[in-house]
Amino acid sequence: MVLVPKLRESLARNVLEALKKLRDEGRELILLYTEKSSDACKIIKSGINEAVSEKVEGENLDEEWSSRAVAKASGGGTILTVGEVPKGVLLKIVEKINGKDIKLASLIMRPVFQKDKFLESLDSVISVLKGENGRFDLSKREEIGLELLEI
Amino acid sequence: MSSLRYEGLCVKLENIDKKKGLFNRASSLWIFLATHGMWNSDIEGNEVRAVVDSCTGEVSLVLSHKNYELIRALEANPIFHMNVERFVILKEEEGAASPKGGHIRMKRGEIKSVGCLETVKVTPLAFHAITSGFHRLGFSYRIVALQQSLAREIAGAIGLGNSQIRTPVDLFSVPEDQEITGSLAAFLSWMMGWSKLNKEARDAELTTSVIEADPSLEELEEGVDMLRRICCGEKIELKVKIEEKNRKALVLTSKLNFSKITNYISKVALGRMNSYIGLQEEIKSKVEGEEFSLAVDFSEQMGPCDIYLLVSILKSADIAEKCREIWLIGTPLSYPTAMYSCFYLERLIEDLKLGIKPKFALSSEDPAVSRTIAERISSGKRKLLYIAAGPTSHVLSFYRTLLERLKEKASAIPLTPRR
Repeated sequence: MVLVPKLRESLARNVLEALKKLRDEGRELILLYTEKSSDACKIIKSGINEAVSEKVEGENLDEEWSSRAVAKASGGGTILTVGEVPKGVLLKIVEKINGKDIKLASLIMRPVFQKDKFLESLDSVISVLKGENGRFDLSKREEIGLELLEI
Repeated sequence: MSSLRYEGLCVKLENIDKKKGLFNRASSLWIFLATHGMWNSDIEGNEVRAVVDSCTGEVSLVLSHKNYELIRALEANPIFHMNVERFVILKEEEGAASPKGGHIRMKRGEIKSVGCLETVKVTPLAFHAITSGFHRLGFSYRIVALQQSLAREIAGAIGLGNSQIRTPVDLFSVPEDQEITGSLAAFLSWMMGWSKLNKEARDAELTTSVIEADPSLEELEEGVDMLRRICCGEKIELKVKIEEKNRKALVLTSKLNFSKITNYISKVALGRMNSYIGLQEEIKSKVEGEEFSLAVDFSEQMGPCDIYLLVSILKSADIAEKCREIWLIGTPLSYPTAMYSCFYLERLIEDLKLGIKPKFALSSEDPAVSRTIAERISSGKRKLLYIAAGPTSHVLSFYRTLLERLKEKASAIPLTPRR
C-alpha cells in the first residue's frame, strides 16, 4: 500500500525506481493518490504497469486516505509512505493500525552502503555528488537513491 | 591599506550588557547557530555587523579589529552555515593598539571605514539568517527569522495577543521595526542569491511542503526594489491579518506598493503559521483539564515564534498551570533552532513564573533512535500531547511508540492548517 503525495517530477522518478525493486521482489503494489498527486502517480504507474492505482476523494481527506490505506493493508500488508504525506494522515494511520498486523515503512533518501565495502561505497557517493567541474552539486543528491526504511 | 564604502544596510548584533547569561551575549548565540551548535564559544565580540549590498544582496561580515579572538577563530574554522561574500576587518580608531598575536593576520584585511545608508539592530537569529548560505537550511533560517520578527503581529491576528509574554525580539532589547527590516533584508538577499543558482540545484533543495515554486521574475524584481528601498532607510510596515478564502489564512500586508513580493513572502513565511488558527480549541479539547506534558516535534522551519504562539495558547486557554513539562524534539537538521527555541522557552517560563519544565531531546529519522527518545519521554504516567511537525518517518515511529506505551494517555495533533 503506497501513499503517494504531491512529488516533484525528479523525485517521482526516483520513487518509481525504488518501487520497481519492490515489484521485482514479488510485492503487490497499490498506489493511493489524491487529486493533487495525480501527476506523481501517473509517473509511477507509467513505469510499473501492474501496480493498481486508486484515487482518494472526499470532504475529510485525512480520514478517507488513512482508512483506505489501513483497510487495504490489513492482514499482514505494509503501508509505505513516500515524500511528504500530510501529518494528519500519518497520525490517523498510526492510531488505526494500533494492535493490528500491519507494517509501516518509509522511503527515505540516503546512500545505500554495500556490506563490508564502506570506503568504496563512500567513494562512489562522493564521486556522484562531485560535478564535472569538481564542485559539489546539490542536484546530484537524488542520484544517490532512496532506501526502504521499515518502522 | 584599502578604503571601501558599502552602499547598503548595516545589520548590527550587539551584546545587551557585560553580565553573563545567554541572552546578554547575543554574539555567542549567533556563533552557536552558525556552527550548528558545535562551538562552545567563549570567544565573542561585543558588536558584530553585516552589510547587505543594496544592489546585489551580497553580504559582507564586518568585525572590529578589537575582536581579534573571534576573527582568528572565524579564519581558522570553516563555519558550516555561514556564507558571506566578504569578511572585512575594520580598524575603528586610528592609532588604536592591536592586540598582540592577532595583529599580523588582521592587518591583511584592514580597511579604513564602512559607510552604510542605514543601520538596524537585530537578534542573533536574524543575524544568523543574514549570514547563512543559499541552501535549504539557509532558506529555512530566513523564514524562521521573519516569523520571529512578526510574532506579535501573528499572535494578534490569531487572537492570541498577550502583552505579558515577551517575544524573542523583546528579550534582546531589539526594536521590533528594526528586527522586521533586518529579517526582510535577509529574506530578500536570499531571493537574489537563490536566483543565481542553477535550476536543478534549486529544485533539489525545495520541498513541496515549504514552497512549490521559485519566485517569479516580477516577484524578484519587486524584491530587488524593496531591498534597495529598505537599505535607504524606508520603513516597510508589515501587518498580518486573517482573510477568509477557502479557509481562514494569515495574510501579510504592506502600505507600500509591493503587492507581488508581499504575497510571495506571505505564502512562504506565513503559510505554515496557519496551523495555529484553531489550534487552541484542539489542544484544550485533548487536554480535558488534566495535568499533561507537551512534546513538540520540531521541523526545520520552526523556531521561537512557534514557542511564543504555543505558550500564548496555553496561557489564553488557561491550561498553562496544568502543563508540567514541554519537550522540544529536534533532529540533526533542526537541532540549532530547536535548541535556541528551548533557551527562549526556559526564559519565558522563568518570566511568567510557570511550573513547567522545559526539556530538549535530540532525535533522528532513524526509527531506532526515535523509538528510544519516545520511550524516554513517555516514561511518566501523565497524559502526553504530541504536536507533530517533524519528518515523516520520525512522526510515524515516534507516535507509534507513544501509543504503545501510554495507550489512551497519548494523543497527537498535526501542526498543519486545519481543513
